[in-house]
Amino acid sequence: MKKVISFPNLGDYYVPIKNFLIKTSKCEVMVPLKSTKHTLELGNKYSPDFVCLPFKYTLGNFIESLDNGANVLVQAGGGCRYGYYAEVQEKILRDLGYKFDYINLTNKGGFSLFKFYKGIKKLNPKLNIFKFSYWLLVAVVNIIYMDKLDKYIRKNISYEKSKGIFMKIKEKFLKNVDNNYSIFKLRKLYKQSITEIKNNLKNSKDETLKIGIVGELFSLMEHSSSYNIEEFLLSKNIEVRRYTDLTCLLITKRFQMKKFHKKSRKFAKYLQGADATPNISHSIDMANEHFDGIIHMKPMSCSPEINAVPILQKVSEEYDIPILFLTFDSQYAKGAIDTRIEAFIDMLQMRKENLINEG
Amino acid sequence: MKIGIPRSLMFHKLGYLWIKFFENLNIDYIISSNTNKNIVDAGKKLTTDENCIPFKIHMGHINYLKDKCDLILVPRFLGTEKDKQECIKFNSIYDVVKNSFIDINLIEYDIDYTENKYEIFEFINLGNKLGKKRIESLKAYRKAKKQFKEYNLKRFENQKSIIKTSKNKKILLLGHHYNLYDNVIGKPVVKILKKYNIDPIYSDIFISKKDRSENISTTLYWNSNKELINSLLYYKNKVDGIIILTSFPCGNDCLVNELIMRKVKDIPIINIVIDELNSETGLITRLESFIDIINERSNHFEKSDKFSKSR
Repeated sequence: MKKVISFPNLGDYYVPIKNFLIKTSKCEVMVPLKSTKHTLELGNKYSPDFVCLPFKYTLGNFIESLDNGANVLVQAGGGCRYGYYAEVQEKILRDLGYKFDYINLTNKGGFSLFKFYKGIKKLNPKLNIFKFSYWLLVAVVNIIYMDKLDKYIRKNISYEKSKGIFMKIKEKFLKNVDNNYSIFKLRKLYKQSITEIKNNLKNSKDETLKIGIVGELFSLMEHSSSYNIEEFLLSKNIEVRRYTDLTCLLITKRFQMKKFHKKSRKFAKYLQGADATPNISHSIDMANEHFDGIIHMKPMSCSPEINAVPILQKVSEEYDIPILFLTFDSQYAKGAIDTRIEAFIDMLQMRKENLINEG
Repeated sequence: MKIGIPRSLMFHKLGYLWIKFFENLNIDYIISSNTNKNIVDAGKKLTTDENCIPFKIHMGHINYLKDKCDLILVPRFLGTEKDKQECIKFNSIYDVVKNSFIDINLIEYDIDYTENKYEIFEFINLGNKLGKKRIESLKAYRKAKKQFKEYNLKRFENQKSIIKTSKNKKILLLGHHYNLYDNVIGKPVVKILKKYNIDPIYSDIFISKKDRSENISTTLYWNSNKELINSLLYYKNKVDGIIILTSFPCGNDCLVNELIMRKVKDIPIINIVIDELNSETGLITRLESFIDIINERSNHFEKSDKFSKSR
């Protein structure tokens, strides 16, 4: 039987994952459908009662992919509870009667590249470790450039000449990745996109707000699970700062942990687990840089972020920076979230004007 | 100097060790009272609403102890090995407590494999912080550890003898120690079971050096859940039914229990989730019907045995 590989959604990162899987396994790769309300309902139906939201979304993705003909699933994980998803999801899907191969990349709460290699080697016996490492390197380069481009867009959104042009450039970049899948071509593509953005910059900046987003990784990177808050802010030409992306999680975080810990020492003596310590440290950074506000996002019952909440409240008090705490669950009410975000933006606007008037 | 020990979370596992350690060092201590409504209410006010109930209760206990002692013991746990981690709540428990109260004096120790912080050194440091000499603390720790081990062994033997001698039906209460022994979470369940002449078997009373948890889950890395699975595998054939006791919304349990419920099929299992708004009647109804099922099941087996013998 022909093997069709599928994987769960994580924002735009389907592009490097898809290409990596195609190049290494030589099998057909099915990109999961965009997560929608239907995905969530599917996942919700078969999930344990009070599991966190990413579990439900990824399970929904798997079920949709399996229904569309996929028969090999890849699930990664690491940190907090995410490292244990894979095994439970496999059991749930098997109990539902699906037949599939499962590549489980988690190993005792961490991420195991060797398991990944072994899993793909089974699909493509011709694969060797050098090829695997090469394509992994290209995928990492791809991820780094994607994140860099994203960061550039988020930073310069208030200089945008005509509305929506940055997003179009980004989409073009993502589309062209498939045909330019090597380190140098990707670099060229990235430079092209940056110059294109630079050509579309205004000379003067709009007087807009600066908002930081911190929180749990899945809500931050998979925008459909957090009601597209980031896009909403960007569409209002608000400068957004978000530190959490795959580059950070896979590469830079482990080297910066000591720095984060040192910075958050004032409020927290010990490491908090998962992303809580980086979030506290980033919030302090953004408060020092005089951001107008911070939005903290987490799915329901996300322990590390719940632990971070009292500490962030202290940060908010001490540095006089408003923080909006948002929790997402499987109830889908975009209107309610939008209202809260808009009210938050209005409040920040008024606060800023007051501060200016007071001198 | 007086140390306050909250009767919550890790107290139910390590409390005996702490008490003996302080006793051996001649340090005065006070243990908070059993969990009651006031403690739960105070804890609820002090935490965000999404926290789990054991943690809310823990905050209530600390609030209770706040004015009654000089230092409150709030240890931090990450785990002793990479695949023996504690729930992520224990990573930040010290800092959350510190940030939730204004002006509170805590004393802590830290079990963290990533920084080579192990129990023995941490206890020596703990004694040192309390103004005792290192050798003194080491002696006190070793004595306390010995007493702790003997105490646990005695409990285990006790439970074994109950299983052997008692003619009542037995039900395994599968849950974390801080759920089973808590006055608000676990005690009502035990009370109802005793009313129906059923012996509760506690899952945390189990000692074994071998880790058999891979039979149920291969990628598990939470220590307390591993212990639960090990004791489940040991007691499974010795009891008539299993009650999985979870508190809402326990992150680790909701995944591991799902796996247990899907993999253990040859024995009646009920999953009871204790919420802070739990009504006694709802609990009684569910437990009664479960007990009925167990009784009916054994009656049925006896009948079918007789039937097959008569033929």
